[in-house]
Amino acid sequence: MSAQAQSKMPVRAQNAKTHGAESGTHDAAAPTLAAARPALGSDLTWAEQVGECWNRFWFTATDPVTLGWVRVLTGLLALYLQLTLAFDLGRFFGTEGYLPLRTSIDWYEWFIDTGGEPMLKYSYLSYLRTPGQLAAAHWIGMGILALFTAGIFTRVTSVLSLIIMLSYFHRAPMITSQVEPIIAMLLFYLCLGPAGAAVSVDTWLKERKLRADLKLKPEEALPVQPRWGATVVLRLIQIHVCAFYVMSFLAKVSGGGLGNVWLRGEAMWWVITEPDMPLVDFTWIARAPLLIDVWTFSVLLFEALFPLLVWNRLLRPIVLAVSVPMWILMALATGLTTYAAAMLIGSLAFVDPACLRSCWQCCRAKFAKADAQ
Amino acid sequence: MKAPAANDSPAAMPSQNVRTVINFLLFVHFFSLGALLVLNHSSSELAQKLRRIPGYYLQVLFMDIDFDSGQPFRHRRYPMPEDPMAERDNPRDLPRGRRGRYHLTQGEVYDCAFFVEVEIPDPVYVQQRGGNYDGERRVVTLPELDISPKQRYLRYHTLAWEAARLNGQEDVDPILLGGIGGGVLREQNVPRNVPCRVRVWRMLSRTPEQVLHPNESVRDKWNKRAPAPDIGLEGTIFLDRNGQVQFSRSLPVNEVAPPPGSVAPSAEDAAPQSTPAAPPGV
Repeated sequence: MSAQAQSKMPVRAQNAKTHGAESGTHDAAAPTLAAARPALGSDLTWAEQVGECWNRFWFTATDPVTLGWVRVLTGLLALYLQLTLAFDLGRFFGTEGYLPLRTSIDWYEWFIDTGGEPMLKYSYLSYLRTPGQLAAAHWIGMGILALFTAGIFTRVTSVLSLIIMLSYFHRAPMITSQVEPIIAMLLFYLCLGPAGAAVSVDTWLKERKLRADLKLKPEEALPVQPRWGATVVLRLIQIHVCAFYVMSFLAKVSGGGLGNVWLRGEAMWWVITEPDMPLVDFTWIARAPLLIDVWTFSVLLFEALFPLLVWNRLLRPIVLAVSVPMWILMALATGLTTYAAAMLIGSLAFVDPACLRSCWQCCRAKFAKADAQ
Repeated sequence: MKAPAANDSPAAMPSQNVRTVINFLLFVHFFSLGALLVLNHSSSELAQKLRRIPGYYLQVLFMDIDFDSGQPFRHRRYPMPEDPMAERDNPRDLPRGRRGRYHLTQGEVYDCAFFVEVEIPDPVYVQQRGGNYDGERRVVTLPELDISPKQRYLRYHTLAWEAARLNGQEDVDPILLGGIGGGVLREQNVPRNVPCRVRVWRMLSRTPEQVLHPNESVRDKWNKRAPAPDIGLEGTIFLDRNGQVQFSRSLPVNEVAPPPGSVAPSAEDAAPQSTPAAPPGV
């Protein structure tokens, strides 16, 4: 049927026809309305156009390389958090430590209506009694996180990694700071999609086998396999990262006290003069008070504009580029390096897969060349 | 995003049924998140109920974060302070402020460094005195100042912050301070029934005039021009004969009644030490 003839058919009949053709293969491609009728864009009703946009936004297949890098960096950050926790396992989770189970239960009961027991049941740390058990569980958990980071059995290790990290967060939420909710968010979404479909040992082994079967030369690139699952996960991360920005902005501008220090332009001064946290001495800025105002309002402006501008294709690279120095400066001024790293990892979900793919191919080529030499 | 690759199963869009299921799950997920975040500041009954419905789901995923406090939502109704200014000035009432994390600072009482201190008998001195726990004491401070990496410091910092916040509540038992103090006593092998002082204090940020003093930088964390530590809460703690932590808020040591059968320190031994220990390096 020609496109012209197709255009004369009622929309619903077109849709039914398209589905009828596809119904024999449930898992086969199911083209959307606009994809099935490319000439009909203008004939679509408003609701159908919205539906099309929705489908394109969520289900257009994309190269999973971005997701792969988000997995690697999230895994590394989670590993770092667990490594630093290894020094204080007994203090935070031991029965004789600072936060024995009874203390956590009391804290939950006071803090949240649901009580202490239900949430602590979700943490396997609640069932470990001796320092040996704690240490064994901790190092096994780190091993699983390492497998997840490397992309080995990713479907399984991603779920296990989420369980591991949530167990620590639920057991002692009073030692969690800004970074833990972001890590939980990233790990949760990475469980849902093909996080191991790129930049992983799983893929490397698969590709090696495929190359051997097809007798391809090492320099010959295999075709990229886009996945709609990767799109869904990346969109979830993108929206959630934007929500973090929006809420951070709202939390800043809605403060009370002696007047809002963010709106007065003083906030960064208070941040850099914290007596214990800053990594770098920025107090010289007191000689140029205007800089304090500029820095404070820049942070506010960035957090307000990021969720709006990052969706624009043209502005996205600029917004992402600005976010890097912004978070590095913030990390140096606040000492919250892991928080800044987590936000940057979340922002990575906005990076064009083609850009990351070319970087990845370039790195691989260099490694291959080095190996050959 | 790249354009979809035609006729390639993983690359093509999922079937209508799969999309419907995913769309439904997306709606549930974002409704839950939205209800929690949008109704952050609302205190109406409807808002509380709307927030509570998805609360459990988000709690499990550790997504039920109050962006003000950085801690999980307190799902109970939260009374508003009668006098925010008085609250700011009185460290005992700090917790009602609930200001915390993602805003980084609001220049308020919570936006400063908190420390937990436990005064324990100095083991060397005790040995010299033949087991007498009178007199000389040493102070265990959390977070320890030389702790590294920074992430470890941040955890203790957060714990001290939360202890301060929680213990400002007059109607709440000192949950965390008791736990931390008890842990320190056990860790340092302090014998049972020996009362020790435990306190939370805060170190405020400095004004430009204080910072601009010559030869001084923010790395001199405890320089003498920094504001004096401000005691937020003080109490007495000891391990009873069963090893359980006993805590008494803001009472002199000699007023703490040890459990029956335990050897109580004499009034002289247990003289109150209300003067805060000087911060390290001062």
